[in-house]
Amino acid sequence: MINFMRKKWNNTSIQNKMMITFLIPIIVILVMNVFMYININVMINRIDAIYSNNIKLNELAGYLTNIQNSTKEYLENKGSVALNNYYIATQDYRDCMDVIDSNPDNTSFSMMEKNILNQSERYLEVIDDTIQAKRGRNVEKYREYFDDANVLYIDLQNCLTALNNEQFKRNNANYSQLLTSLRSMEIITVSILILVGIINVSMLFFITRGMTQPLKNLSEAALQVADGKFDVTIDTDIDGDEIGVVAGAFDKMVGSIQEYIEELKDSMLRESELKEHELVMESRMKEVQLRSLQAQINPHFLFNTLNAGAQLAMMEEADKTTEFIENMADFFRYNIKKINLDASIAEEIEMVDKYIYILNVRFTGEINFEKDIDEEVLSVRVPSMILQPLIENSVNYGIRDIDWEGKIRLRVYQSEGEVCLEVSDNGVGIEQDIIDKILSGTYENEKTGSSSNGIGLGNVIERLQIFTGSDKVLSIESEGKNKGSTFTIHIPMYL
Amino acid sequence: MNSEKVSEKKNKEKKNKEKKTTYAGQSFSFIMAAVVLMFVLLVATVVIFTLMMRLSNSIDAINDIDYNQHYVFIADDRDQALWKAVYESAKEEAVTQDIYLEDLSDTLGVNYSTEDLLRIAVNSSVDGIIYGGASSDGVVELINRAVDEGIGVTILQKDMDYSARQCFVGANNYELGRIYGSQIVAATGSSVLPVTEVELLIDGDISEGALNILIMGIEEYVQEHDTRSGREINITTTRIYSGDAFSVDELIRGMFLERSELPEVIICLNSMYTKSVYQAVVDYNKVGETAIIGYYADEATLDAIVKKILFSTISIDTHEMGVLAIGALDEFHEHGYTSSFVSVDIDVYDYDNATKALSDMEVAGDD
Repeated sequence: MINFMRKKWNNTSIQNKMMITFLIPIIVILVMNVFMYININVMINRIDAIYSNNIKLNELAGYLTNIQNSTKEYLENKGSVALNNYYIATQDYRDCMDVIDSNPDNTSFSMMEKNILNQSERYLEVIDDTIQAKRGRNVEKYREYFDDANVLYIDLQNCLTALNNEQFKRNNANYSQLLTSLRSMEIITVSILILVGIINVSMLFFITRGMTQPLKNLSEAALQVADGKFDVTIDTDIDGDEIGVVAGAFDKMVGSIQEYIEELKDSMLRESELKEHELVMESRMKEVQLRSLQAQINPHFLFNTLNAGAQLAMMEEADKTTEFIENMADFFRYNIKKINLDASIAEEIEMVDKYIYILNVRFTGEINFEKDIDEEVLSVRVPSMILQPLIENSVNYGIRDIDWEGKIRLRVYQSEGEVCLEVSDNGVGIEQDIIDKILSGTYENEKTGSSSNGIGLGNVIERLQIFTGSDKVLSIESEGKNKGSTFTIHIPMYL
Repeated sequence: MNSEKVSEKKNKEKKNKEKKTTYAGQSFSFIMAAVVLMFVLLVATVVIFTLMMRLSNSIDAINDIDYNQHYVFIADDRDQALWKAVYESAKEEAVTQDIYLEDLSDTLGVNYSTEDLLRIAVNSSVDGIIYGGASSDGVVELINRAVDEGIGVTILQKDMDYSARQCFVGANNYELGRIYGSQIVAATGSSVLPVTEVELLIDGDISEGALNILIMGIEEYVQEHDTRSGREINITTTRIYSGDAFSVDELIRGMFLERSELPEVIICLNSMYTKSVYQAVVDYNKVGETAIIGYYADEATLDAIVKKILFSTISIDTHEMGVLAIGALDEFHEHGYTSSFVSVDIDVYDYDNATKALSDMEVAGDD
């Protein structure tokens, strides 16, 4: 139940929250005030009523004196004014008696009032007899009646005074007690109102804090965001009200901006990496080109010279020389032309064949070269000049100084979505630490010299990495010393 | 990389959720507490005010018993302590029957005579009158008028059988005389005097008939019980008329000054006479010269017996007298008639039982 109410409250709009917060204390205070007002009013009326009886008795005593005086005056001069006054006073007295007589209860004071009323009746009777006797000029009788009336008058006055005093005494006590009660009520009223006021103020404080605190946090967070700090935590009470909605939206917005910035950063990073790769590749290419140019100062001159040599050999019918020179010219031309381009595996194999031919001419057929080619992958594009450096490497470091027949084997095949270009030899083999250095690009060979075309394994690896976007482009295996080595280039099938 | 971001985001959401609960929880909890507190205050206000209003109502209600009869108590002030006791017991009894018993002399505050008070009571047409004052023609006339007008009248202590009163509540004079006689015998048992002089101090308005019965009772008892041969008893009566407030005391003191010899026994038929006599005996150093038999047993009288200033005192049961007076008027109102004489018990206190009575009285006073 409480959870349900809490949920309801959290989802209540600010307007309704404020309305509830104001209405509850107002209603409570209103009800309290009405209740206290009614009670205090009743009390005040009671205090007012306390002395009303005294007033009535005083009035009665006054009318009684009027009757007595007017009667005496009438007896003295039998004047009509005095008689009229007597009648008026008697009527006033009777009216006042009726008011007192209307009191329905039978308390001690009512009993005493009843005594007075009974005596009054007797008095009025005697006084009327006195007037009648005076009218009838019965001197003896009216004197006698007036004496009786006088006794009754004195008794009545004494009784009225006594009752008045008694009532006054009791009224004073009641008045004091009622006044004390009234004061207590006032104190209680003020205390309760102060208490309700404090609760109300506390309630307002909490409710406004509940509203302003999230806004404060929100504004702080907004300032941070404005300063460019997007990694902010919004410390806000995310209720279901408007502030909650705004805070939630702000939180989402900041989150989205953060994500967007992260994505932007990533893409910029990727772009810069790409550019860096491109630059590296370009620099490598330029390096290859430079080396190539250094090795062949003027390739056109060289090609023309080699063509002239081939033509001369042809004229002299030296076919082998012609073939050698043509192969050599093709090799170098490929080298120059393709250095910045990619090539098909078939072209690379063709170039390897020419290179082997040149080497076999150079070393009088010492190199036993075998090929095992998967025809399906011949059209796959690869960076140019990647196979020849491997063959060159096998020749120079694998089989050159061995005592047994050197063999180099080229195998091209498909494996697990890759095209593998495997160059293996039965040469001296490579130690594992050197393999690691070669693969990490830290190996520097002292033997690299004029016999190389200038493109080292490092260059091949880097270009392959740039081309494929993968680190694992070359694997080297060697079973140990004099047990040969195998270099395998891995090209993803669908680049 | 991606999984790190996801977990960071989750943490942030969790953190926010926790804070959400804290703020929302605080706000709601406080408002709930405040509402409950205000409701409690509201209820407390209603309860407190209701209680205070009831309390203030009860202030009025203390004296606001709804009575169905109005009786008036009139007594002269010569036996203040006695009448006060009778009035208290009568009032107690009256309240139990929703009767308002008014002590007119106390209410009016004017020094009215009992006859004046009786006149006012009759003119006020009260429901009943309990009268314990002096008798006179005017009083009898007023009693007769009251009875004519249907007002019940009960006379206390001194009967006015010649009036039309409905009832008399008091001691039987003959019985009272015999008790006084017994006290005379006890007081003069060791006397060697041939004649026992007894002086009776009586109210001036006591009727001859009542006085004769009283004296007869005394004499009969003494004759029956005084075993000494040839002994005579001479009873002298002194009527005391209360002209003004201090005349009784002056008269008694005059008696002590004028006479060379005091009577062997002085019998006081009134508590005021008792006090005046024993004070005079002390003042004039006559303690032991006369045996004083008093009337009514209040603390001072009992103390005087313990100190052997008084020989004994005779007291009517004031409580019984008050209750019976109310009962008689009730009976009259209920049935139109009542017993014309209702006797009350008479107690005698002498040296043997005065101490106990005094301590009982003190204990009762403490309670």
